[in-house]
Amino acid sequence: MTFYRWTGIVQQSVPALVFLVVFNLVAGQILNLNEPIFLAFPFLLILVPVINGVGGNVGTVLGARLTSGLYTGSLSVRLTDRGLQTQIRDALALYLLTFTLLAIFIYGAAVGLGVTPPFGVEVLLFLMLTTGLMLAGVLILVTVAVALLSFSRGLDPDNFITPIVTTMGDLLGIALLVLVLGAIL
Amino acid sequence: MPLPSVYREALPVLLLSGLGLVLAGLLFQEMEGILRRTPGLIVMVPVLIALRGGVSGAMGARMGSAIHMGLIERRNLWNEEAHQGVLAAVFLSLTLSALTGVLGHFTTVLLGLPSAGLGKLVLIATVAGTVAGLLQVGVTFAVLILAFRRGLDPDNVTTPTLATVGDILTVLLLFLVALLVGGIP
Repeated sequence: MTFYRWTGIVQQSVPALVFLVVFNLVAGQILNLNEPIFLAFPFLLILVPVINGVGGNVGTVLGARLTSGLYTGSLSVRLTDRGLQTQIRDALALYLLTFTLLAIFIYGAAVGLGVTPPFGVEVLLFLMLTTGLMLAGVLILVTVAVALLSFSRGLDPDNFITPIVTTMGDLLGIALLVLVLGAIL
Repeated sequence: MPLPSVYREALPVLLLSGLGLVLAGLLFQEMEGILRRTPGLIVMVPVLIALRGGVSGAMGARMGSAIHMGLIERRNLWNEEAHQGVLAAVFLSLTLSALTGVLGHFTTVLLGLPSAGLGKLVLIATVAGTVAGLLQVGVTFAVLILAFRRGLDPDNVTTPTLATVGDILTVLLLFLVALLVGGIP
């Protein structure tokens, strides 16, 4: 008799995974409805996995740092907490730095590979920073809210933050990218 | 003034995984032709990427826990406990990828958008999702063996590595399988 049984793993994973499929299907349909823009400028497809992935990654880093801080007592469950405010400021700075550096890299890589961007590097920077800033604002709010609410109810924030933040990052990332693209193009 | 640890330690990891995401984006961009010829395919891209993270990321985390509990040992990674975890991951990849194809087709039709057809979308999603899941099992064990050799805690290295490799593998397989099913022009 093994500790892990594949049927047990499947039973416990299915609800969360079906939820993940449904949420990402909405993201997929937003892409589908805007497919003409992406096919007219395939360069824009490069941005989809990047914006989604970075959104979730920074949220997860913030979540892990908040949880550790709450458990070790260096943070408290109050929005006026100085440590909490520093963590939020650092997460915002990480988002902006990561998006800025990746925007420059994407532009260079695309031009190097012969993929024509439909605009200059300054427009790409504007696009990624505007999308990134809105995404960061919402994801940071959600991460802080989930961390503080679950912790103050005696639940482990680690069980909630990663699935919630990565799923929201996927859906919001695509929705905001399409929104900002619509305003620019 | 020295930089706080969040910038020194988190930023390089975020940028490294960002480069992996750019690679996934560049592959996605290369799919322009097949996306044009296979309506509905674009819907499944974010879903299968997220599913890969949800299934294989969880499997990697479980392997890490199993190692810490002594259920899987360095000398004998491929034992019955590991088999159960792998079987669950492959089963979940197969069934949820097929579900993605089914839901992808019907939501597309419901929105009044063209679809390549239920059969084609289910075939592409199932084969690409399952093969990516199988390859990811290999990557997981490779990462675990490397972590052991270098004396690293698997918990620190599996999740970020698997997330980045999973995104690239998923887009690559969707691309290849869609070409096989849809025909190379």
